Amino acid sequence: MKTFLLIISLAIPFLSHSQILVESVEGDEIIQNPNGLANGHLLGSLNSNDQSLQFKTYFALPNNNGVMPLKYITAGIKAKPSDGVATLFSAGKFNASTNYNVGYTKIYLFTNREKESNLIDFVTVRYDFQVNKYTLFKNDTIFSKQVSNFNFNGSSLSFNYNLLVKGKHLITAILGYTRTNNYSTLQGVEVKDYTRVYDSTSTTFREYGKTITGRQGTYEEFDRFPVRFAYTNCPSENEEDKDKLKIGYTIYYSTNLGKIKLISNIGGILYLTKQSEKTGVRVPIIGLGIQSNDFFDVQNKGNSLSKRLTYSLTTTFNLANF
Amino acid sequence: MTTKDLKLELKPLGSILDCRVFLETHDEIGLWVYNTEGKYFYKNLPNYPIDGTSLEVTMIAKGKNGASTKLTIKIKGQPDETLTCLIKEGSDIEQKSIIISNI
Repeated sequence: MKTFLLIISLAIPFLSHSQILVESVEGDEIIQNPNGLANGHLLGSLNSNDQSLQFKTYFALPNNNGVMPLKYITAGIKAKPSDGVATLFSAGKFNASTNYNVGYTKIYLFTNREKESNLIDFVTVRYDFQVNKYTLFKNDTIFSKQVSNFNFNGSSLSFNYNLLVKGKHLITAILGYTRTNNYSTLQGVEVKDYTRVYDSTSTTFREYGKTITGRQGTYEEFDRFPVRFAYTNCPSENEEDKDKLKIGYTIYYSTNLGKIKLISNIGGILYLTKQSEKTGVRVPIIGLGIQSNDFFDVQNKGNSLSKRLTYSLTTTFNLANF
Repeated sequence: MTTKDLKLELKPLGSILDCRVFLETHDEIGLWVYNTEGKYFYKNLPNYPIDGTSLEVTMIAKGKNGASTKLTIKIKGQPDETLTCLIKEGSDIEQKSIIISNI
């Protein structure tokens, strides 16, 4: 599946005319950049690390004063396997997770539109609702209740603030609340249930059964307050350079606040941009993400820094303009 | 004062976050219509009142460096005029005074 996503990631950019929608290794939208959105758009994005596929629509609201829309409504749906592609189907059950999100973006929050300035900011308020399908194995309970399938429903609210400085430097800060769980940190387990039958005519024993993939351990749900900071260097969009590929990059810091140790992730996304002939907007045709998980080794699990690195490929493509 | 039928066409190229067009220095033009096929905004202003012998046009744009906006001013009965903003250090402001013929 990862190979498939990689191939798609490489193939689709040749059709792309979209805007920046860069995702971190963990699938967070580090940059949600409405630059160059003139009207409505339907975007798609792929992330190889969390193996997700997202579709997102942008609706521009009319502007009474000015040409470009200054307010947008977004709506998105993201699907991914609950516990990796290998477990997309477990014992005949479809284990997909779904995230529904809606957002409101406004250009100008703290910067002054009336004043001549090389600063311009925009903010997005976003609500997410996710449904994850989980399978939990408990070996310390009665046999009939050892395997439980259940849904996790969690809500998130986030504020995504962006400041573009001198047309080149984009600073992003994201603060939010999310209801989440520790399922992905539990130990993976395969449960095999076999039935044995004996056929007296042929004097043969036959075994058949199913394999259930899930997690084992103490499952908990809790509140977290995600914090993300990012810096993006935006390539210039001069018309005379329209045939050149240019490199942009993002570096970010992410952590979650709550009743836990402060675990810091530091990452970067290096992306190659191509300028759209029609809109002149430079879009990331492919991005390589690298993240150092628990950068300061607060968890002290004995892993070296190189073992705590995670890589991903991400891309965004345009599906329709309206 | 005279009146003219005006049509404004504005084509953004690149990442423009905000663009404002003023006629006669004070009248900001809003509620532009987007042409999806041509990738440009347009605004029809029939019988637009013009003071004096010229139409003053101001355009302000903000966005990514290198991005541009090209404004075409179509005045009925005379050649088209253009005004272009090219973003440098995050913004640009351009002004033009267009002589009105047949007054």
